[in-house]
Amino acid sequence: MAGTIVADTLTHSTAGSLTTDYVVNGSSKVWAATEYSSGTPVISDSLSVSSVSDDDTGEMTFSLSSALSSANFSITTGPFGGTGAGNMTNITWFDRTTSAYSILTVDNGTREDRETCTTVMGDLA
Amino acid sequence: MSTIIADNLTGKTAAGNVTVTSEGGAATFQLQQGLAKAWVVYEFSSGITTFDSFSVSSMTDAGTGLATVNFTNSYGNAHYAMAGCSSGGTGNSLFNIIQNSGSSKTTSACPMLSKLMTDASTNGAPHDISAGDGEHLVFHGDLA
Repeated sequence: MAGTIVADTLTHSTAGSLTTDYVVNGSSKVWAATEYSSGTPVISDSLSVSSVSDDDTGEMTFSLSSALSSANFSITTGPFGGTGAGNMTNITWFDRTTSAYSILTVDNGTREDRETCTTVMGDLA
Repeated sequence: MSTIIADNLTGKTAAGNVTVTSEGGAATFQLQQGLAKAWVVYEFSSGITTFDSFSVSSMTDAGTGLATVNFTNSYGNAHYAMAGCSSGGTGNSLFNIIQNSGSSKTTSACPMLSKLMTDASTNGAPHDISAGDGEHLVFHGDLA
């Protein structure tokens, strides 16, 4: 049988104390790394992502395993690209609900299918 | 109010799985997977200057705008998620940081590329960014 500890503070012997709201609020609720296979985005590894859909060139939508409590969660991104001048990849989010978020990958001003990393911080329902 | 005094948290049923109840109480999530496994703040200044970090053993200067983050603890696979932000001023210059596709991302190191976008001639060129605190990175994924 698994045990449950109910506590407000965690104290390490040397590193100090942390109230557990930092653990609950400060943990990433979703993260995902994707790559493309035959023109379709696939999840390389993830937390709390049930699926990813191929919406258009450079566009994909992540469906979440657990819903967030509001759609005002934070999305941060990790683009992928090379050293050539003009080779500038950016990722922007353009839609989010409590159960999904959508991103667009642009390389030098043009939609492109690129590897992506995204991380979500927010409150679960 | 209660306090747990401990140096280690380990799951009872599975050592690597401590479950945390969500803010709203309707869900649970795995503590280990949600924690950032590494972060670092650095800039290019006579090589690379690291201002602060967590679980980063060293930074390697791999050329103009190129830095390799070497992790203290290796990941279980190379598909961990990186998120980053460059600092900069209010002028027309825009700095950006991306994962360098020209070098392999491994379980123990992640190649990064800093770029400067100012005009057509230098748009997206590798650049040793030293404005402000430079580059901010955070990594999520599964440790080995």
